[in-house]
Amino acid sequence: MNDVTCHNLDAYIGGWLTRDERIEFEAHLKQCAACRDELGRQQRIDRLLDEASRRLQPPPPDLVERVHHALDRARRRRRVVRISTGLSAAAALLVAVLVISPERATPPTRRVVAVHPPDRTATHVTPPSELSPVQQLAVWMASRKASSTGTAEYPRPRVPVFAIPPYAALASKTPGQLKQTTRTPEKNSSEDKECKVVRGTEPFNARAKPSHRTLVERRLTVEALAAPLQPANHETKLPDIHAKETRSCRLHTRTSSAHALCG
Amino acid sequence: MGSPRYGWAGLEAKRGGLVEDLLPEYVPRVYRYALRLTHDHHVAEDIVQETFLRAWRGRRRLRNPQSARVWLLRIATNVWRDRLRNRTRQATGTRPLPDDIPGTVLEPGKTMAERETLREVLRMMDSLPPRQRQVLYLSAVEAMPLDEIAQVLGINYQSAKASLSLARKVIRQQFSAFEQQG
Repeated sequence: MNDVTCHNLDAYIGGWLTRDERIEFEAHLKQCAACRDELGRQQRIDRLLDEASRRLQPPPPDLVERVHHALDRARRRRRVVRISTGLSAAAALLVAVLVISPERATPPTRRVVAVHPPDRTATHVTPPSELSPVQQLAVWMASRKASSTGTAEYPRPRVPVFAIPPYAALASKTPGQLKQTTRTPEKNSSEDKECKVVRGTEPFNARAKPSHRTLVERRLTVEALAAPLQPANHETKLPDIHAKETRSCRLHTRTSSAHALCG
Repeated sequence: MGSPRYGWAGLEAKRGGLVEDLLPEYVPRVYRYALRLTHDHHVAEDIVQETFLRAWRGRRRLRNPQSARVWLLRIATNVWRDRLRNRTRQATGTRPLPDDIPGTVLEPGKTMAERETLREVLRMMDSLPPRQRQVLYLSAVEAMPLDEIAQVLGINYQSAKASLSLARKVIRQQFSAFEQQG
């Protein structure tokens, strides 16, 4: 028995030999009884294996049907998953459209306020138009004081300075008259201190920092207010210094503390 | 007969129907292959169901229906390997074989000696290591060429060739000893 040629038995059975090798091995088979026996045994084993596998252990008769049902269940499950996924996506999209998008686009409160600004002012306390400017200012200050935040509900009404009673007398004076009665007090003088005390009693700008123009107008107003109240006989008998004191004294009669300073 | 469906739905139905068309022919084949791997007909039935479920899920990968046999047996091999990894009740190739092979049906008309020969041949094959057993089964029962065997097992051609040669040599020796005893 040629071992090299007999070694090709498996290759011959498997069909892995080339044409020349197959011809050579078939020539060897005619001479080698051992290879013929092995070849016959292998062919018989393969046939028996095929027969045994097919006939001795057949699959259960209902196996095909069970696999078919399993595929149907899987198909239904996938359909349900797809439908539920689609519904979930649609619901999420609906929520996003209804809730998120309008809020981002224009907040409803702002839009209402922008469309109906008069409604907002109408619900709050505003000074009636029949009130005088000074009364409107008083109402505004009262509402600011009553509020918890310290701010008024509406803008401060525009009240001309000359509408306030102490300064109303200025409204009847001409600029020339105002100039005549105007005098600049000396710096750090007693009268200037008294005037500061008088200014501190002003009701309309107790907290706000007054502008330079406002300060000048107030000083002019105070002095112009004091001038007409000056008695005529004092103007002739008393010197200028005494007249100043008299004016200051009359002015300070409004507040007892300022009057005490004058002696 | 329903109306034909077109477009993607029709293609899906065609592919899903293709897998279902494979059932009558390939369920017994996959079952026998799984039974040779597991030696347990319950596990083999589970492997068959799992194999066709995976095939149905991945039906788009089957582009050539003529390669369905390699495709399905490859899936069955992977299912069996996955079960071995999870290792619950599956058998290995070295498990001692029962005296009576489960599921054996005694055919009328077969003599006792013939039936005993068939059982003995199955026992010989089942006693082989898993790789040799698979290669021998696919070659002898499925008459599968060596390149397709390599595809089913996920190994290269030379490995399949060496395993098949060794399996044939071993089973020939066992069968020769069986013939001498009988």
